[in-house]
Order: sequence, then structure tokens, then C-alpha cells
Amino acid sequence: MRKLLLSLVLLVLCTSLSARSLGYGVGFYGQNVEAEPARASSGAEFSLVYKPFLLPFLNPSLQVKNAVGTEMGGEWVAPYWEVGVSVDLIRIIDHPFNFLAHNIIAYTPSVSVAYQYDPRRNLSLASVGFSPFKLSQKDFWYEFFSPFLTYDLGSGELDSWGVNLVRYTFFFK
Amino acid sequence: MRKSVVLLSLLLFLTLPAFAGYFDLALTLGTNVHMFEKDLDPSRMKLAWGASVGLTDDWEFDVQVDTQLVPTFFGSSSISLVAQKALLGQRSTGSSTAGVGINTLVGAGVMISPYTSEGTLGISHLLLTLTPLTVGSPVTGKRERLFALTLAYNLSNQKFALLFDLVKYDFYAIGTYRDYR
Repeated sequence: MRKLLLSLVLLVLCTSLSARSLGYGVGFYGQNVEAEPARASSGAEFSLVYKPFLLPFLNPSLQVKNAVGTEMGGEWVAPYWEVGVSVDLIRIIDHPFNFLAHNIIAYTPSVSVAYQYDPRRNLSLASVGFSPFKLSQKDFWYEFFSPFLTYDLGSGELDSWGVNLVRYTFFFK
Repeated sequence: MRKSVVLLSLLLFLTLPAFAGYFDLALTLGTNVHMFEKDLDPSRMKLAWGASVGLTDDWEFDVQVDTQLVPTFFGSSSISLVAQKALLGQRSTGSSTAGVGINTLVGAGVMISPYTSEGTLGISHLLLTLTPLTVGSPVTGKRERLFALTLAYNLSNQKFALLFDLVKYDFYAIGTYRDYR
């Protein structure tokens, strides 16, 4: 039974129903660590995305992210690695944000939940994010002003907050 | 008296293009980073917002407010006033013809901010700016300005800083193809 389930999962992953399902992204992130303001950082966030479907509602995608930037003191750091799931809540064409793009584009606001690891502090975190201005084409995602919060998995307390001011994801396969 | 003269001159300067036929107006949104002045501005990330006003077919005037998002959400702000010239051709044709879609901007201006040795609000920096790549134009209704680098000379401590705008979007409300139909 377990083998059958695994085979089905692999089959779904291998035969994606979306035209282009594998993508990479780059964004501009900023993050503030609540208890340690000196660890506030900003820089580039790189991501790999797997989007097997193209559903009009609750369209899921798997995401792996790594951020590289500088802290308040100017030191180069990798403040987080992240593995998680993002879900596009809806997919609509007739929306008020078409003026943002040169072509007609779908509006797909999304929420995300992820496991985040901060190698600077050897800390495991849970991350929740919201992308209210996410626009999608067949092979591109454009995201603007996407905030996120992270919680310490040990204590459950808010650890940090941040924003991805822009993020561009290109689906190549 | 001096303030009134400067304000009047600025208003006159801004109304001139209305008679030249090239006037366009855009709302600007984008990113900004203020580097090498962490003692005066500890921001790690800023939101750039403002307006871009077309003065002639190859000159524009940009008002850009840079508001801190990290580490303080909607913290301190600065205002940059910059006149810029398009180097690769007309930025607007003043007609329904799209014209040059890719351009480079170079310009100069001032920054008004509290980022001075005394911490007082005023003209704090002289600016020299280069935007190596713009895509789009007022006539098409949208424009992206990419990788803008601005050298900022701080008048209070005579030191240089750098501003970097990864991307800025101009959304034109006036001066697009719709106005020339």
C-alpha cells in the first residue's frame, strides 16, 4: 500500500499537469530579527520552485529558498534556508492590477508555510508568508511586497519578520 | 522671500512642458538601498515611491521618496529631486508613436533628508545618478528603470554615499498613447 502511494506521488511529480513546472527565482529581501537588531539583513533571495498543477483555486507549489545578504555591520551572511509550500488562493484574469504588467496577466495572491533554518544561530523556525500582489503568467511569476513572519519552533515565539519587496520567478521546464 | 522665489521658479519649470507638448506624469514604485552611511541611515531596505514628470522629449524631473522598511517598518524617509536626460533617444515622441523603447538616463539633483551630522531636515546631499537601462516609455504607459546607481555627496560631513535602486516601475497617467488618439 505504501509503495503504491509512493508510486502515485512520484507519478504526479513526474507528469506535471502544468505546462512549465520547474522554475528559479530571485528576489530582494529584508529581514529584522526581533531580539537581535544587529542581525537585521537585506540582500538577494534565490529560490527553486516546483509547480505541478495550474489550478484555478488553491494551486500548490514546492519552494526551496536561500537568502544571501549583509547584516547591519556589513558582514555577508546567509540568514536563512527554507523549504516549504506555497498555495495560490485564486487565479483570476479580470482584476484591478493589470496596469502593473505590459500584458494581460493572472492575479494569484498566495500564502506560504515553510520550515526555515537560520545557520547563524543554528535555529529552526516556522515561516508563514503572504504574497498579496502576485501576478502569474505561464512561465513567470511577479511578486511585489510579500511580508513574512518566522516563529521559533522551540519556544513558539515570534523570531523575525521581513519583506520581499520584489521577487521574479521564471519557469523554464 | 527666497523660499517663495524658489517655489515659484520650480512651479514655472514644471508647467513649461505643458506648452511644449511633451508633458507626461507617472506614479513611481520601486526599491532603494542607501549604502555607506549606516551611522546616519541604518536602513537595510527602502521602498521607493514618487512621481516622474516629463519636461521635454528627452528631459524628465523625478521626485522620489525613499521610505525605510527594514529594520524599522515605515521608518525615516528621504526625498530626492533629480532632473534626468535620456541618452539613447527621445523618451517620449509626444505622439501616438511609441518611439525608443530602451534608454539610459543620466541626471543630477539634491536629496532632502535628516541624514546629516546634526540630524536636521534639509538639503543633505548632492546627487549624480545613472540609470543604465530603462524599458518602456511614457507613450506605452509603463516603464521599468533598472540598476540605477546614484552617487550622493553629503554636504554636512563632506563624504560620499551610494544609492542603489534595483528596479523602479513608472505607471503613466498622463502622456500615454491614449492621450494622443
